[in-house]
Amino acid sequence: MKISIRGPMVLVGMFCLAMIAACGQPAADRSPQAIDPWIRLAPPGAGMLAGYMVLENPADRAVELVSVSSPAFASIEVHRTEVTDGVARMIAEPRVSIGAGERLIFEPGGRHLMLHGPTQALDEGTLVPLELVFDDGTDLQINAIVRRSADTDTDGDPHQHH
Amino acid sequence: MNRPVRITVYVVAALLAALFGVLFAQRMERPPELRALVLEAPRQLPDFALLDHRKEMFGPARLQGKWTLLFFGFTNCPDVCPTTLDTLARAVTLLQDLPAAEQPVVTMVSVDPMRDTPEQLAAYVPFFDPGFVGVTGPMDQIMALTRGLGVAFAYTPAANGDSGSYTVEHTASIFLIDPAGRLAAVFSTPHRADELSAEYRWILGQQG
Repeated sequence: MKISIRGPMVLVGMFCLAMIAACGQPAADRSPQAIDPWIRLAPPGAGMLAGYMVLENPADRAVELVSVSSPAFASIEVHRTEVTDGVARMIAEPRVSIGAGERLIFEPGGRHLMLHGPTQALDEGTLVPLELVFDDGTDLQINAIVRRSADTDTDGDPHQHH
Repeated sequence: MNRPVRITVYVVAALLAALFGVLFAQRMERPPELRALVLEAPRQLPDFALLDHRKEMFGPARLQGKWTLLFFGFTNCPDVCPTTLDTLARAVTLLQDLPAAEQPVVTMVSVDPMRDTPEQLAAYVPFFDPGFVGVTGPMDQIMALTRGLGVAFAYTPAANGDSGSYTVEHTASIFLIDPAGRLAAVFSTPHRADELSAEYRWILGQQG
């Protein structure tokens, strides 16, 4: 009698564990991700650099990027270059939202991380740690590589990415 | 190799040669979507007296006898200026097959002369290409040149609120100056190295 009750109970317990394992794994994968983060190589002594990447939000709700920091820079802000009548100006984006399942593109001549006051020499190939904090509590640690150019010759042409 | 195979190889080789011929011929024609604004009558520039990054005089005489790609920027600029200088460096590389006299001299004129000394420009501009020239000088002389080209710039406080910290909004177009020192064409953003070099070639070709 006891055995006939415990049998199904064990099965239910195993099923619950399997569900937790199955749900837990995708949940971790559905936090925001950074694709190809890089920083443009700047002349020695330059006080201002820019960083680029693609941020992906695989979750089914929007997230906001609320802060970016790095031990390699005094301060980091999200800015967008906007060209109006040929004049380029920078628009600060203190909180930038990424819709559910959407991508946010940081690219030369567009949205970028404005990296102010490097605290160390940043030679070509250096991996620079960046910490991205989102409003869902995600604390994304990434390494951006220092390089001279974007990978392709479409540098500065936003139409290539659409 | 038997005979049918050899004929096939010859036919394929001939087709490939024809294809390359067509592609090469197209490169010399007018770019299908010429974006550069080419002036029908090149415009004379006003007089100006500036300094290059070697502290040598930079006036209208320095634009004579060569093609110049003129760009306005500042060294505290994170995105637009380094991106444009990098694009120009790659465009110049694509033009290395031209005779020396037809290769453009890239020059960045600072719109932030308070911070951009010749020393500052010397550390910054040639980094992108050793042949690049940085230019700065008194504000009234910079404005003489910017007015002559229709270049706008304005200072705005930095978003982080640092007192004394500011950024510069500025025209991001690239200006082509002909060997007579006149404005010949304007390239507007977004700049691409392959497009810039192809359009530069075409414009030079029009000069006969």
